[in-house]
Amino acid sequence: MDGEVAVELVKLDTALADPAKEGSVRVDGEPAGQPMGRIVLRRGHMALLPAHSAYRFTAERPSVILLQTIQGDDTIERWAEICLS
Amino acid sequence: MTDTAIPAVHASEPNAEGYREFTIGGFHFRRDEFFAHVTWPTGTHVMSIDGFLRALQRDVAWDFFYGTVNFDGVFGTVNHYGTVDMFAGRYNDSYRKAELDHFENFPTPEIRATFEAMLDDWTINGFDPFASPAETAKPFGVKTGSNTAAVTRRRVTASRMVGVPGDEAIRTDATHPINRMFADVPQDEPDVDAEPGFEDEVCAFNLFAYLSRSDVTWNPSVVSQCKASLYCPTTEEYILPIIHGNDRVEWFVQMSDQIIWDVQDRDTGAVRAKVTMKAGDVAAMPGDIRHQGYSPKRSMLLVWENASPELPELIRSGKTSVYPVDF
Repeated sequence: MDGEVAVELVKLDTALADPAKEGSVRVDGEPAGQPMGRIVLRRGHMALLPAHSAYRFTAERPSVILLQTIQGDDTIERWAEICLS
Repeated sequence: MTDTAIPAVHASEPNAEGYREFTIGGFHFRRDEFFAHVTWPTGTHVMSIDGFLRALQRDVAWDFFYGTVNFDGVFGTVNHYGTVDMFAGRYNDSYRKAELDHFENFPTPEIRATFEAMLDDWTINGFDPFASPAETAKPFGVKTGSNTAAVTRRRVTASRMVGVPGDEAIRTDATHPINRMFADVPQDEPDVDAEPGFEDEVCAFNLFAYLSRSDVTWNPSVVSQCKASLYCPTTEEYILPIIHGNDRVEWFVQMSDQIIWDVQDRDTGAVRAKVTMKAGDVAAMPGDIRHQGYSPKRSMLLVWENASPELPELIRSGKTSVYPVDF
């Protein structure tokens, strides 16, 4: 949405979660697997995060992304604090 | 009136203005030079043909969408995902109190065929119901040709994401020139460096550039899917031609410019809120409202839909809230 964000993708050697599990799960340390590639996104850009792969975002300055995902372990619901009511 | 050979569509011969009249159940539809006339067993209604065709185009293209598509405060459809209610005055307090309201339920293929035939017959050469009023000819007058290519546009529905090999293609100058109001939108593409063998999975594109090349307005297109989560961005200009009645929560992210929303009670039309969204604003439309937007300049809006088929019943049964947030 704003700024610049790099996305690194890794094809995991071993699944870290049940394939039926929804949402994302945290990977501790470096993920074991084959590098899939790297994407650099700027304002208005959109990228695919493939299922059952590991991803990592890096940004050299404050940037904003909007993540389309499914509710899971990493979900934090803060709309009640953020929204005008 | 005689039935044509079109299966399941009851259409007349052309009337004095050259347009066919259509009948489905107890509803009858007639157009003249300026208006659409709708009659049902307990009443009649008239709409500008401009607004009627713009609403009809959305109802057809979206296959009756999620929930209620109000053409205006009187006439519309409710999607039951397999069947569709056609109603007149059903969600209008005055019609209800006067007992003039009426609705009938039809199998989706039957009402779809009737609406498709009516849209094609009533849209004249040069008029594009999906286009901004500033970018199309007028719909008025006697029957002069048709615009079948415009009214049968294929809707963008990416199964993974636009730009992924085998999925919806990126727009280019050859197919979609940049819209006059988005001439300042950067057209740069992301840097994509895929390792060999992962070209189909390491993918990105410029969504804003893609939207800057949209040739339609108020037409959410699916650019990415994550199971039932659909990103449906759209470009808006002038007025949303329908009043959308929600059967689930809908999230809006205003990505450029500004839209003013009128929000009403879904079933009665009582005023609930006016929401002015500027670039960067996020809003959730509850599952029990109807809304209509006004976009003074062409703007980019991300409509974030939850397509889970069980949602309407979960809300009806009270198992899921019509609100996305508990304060």
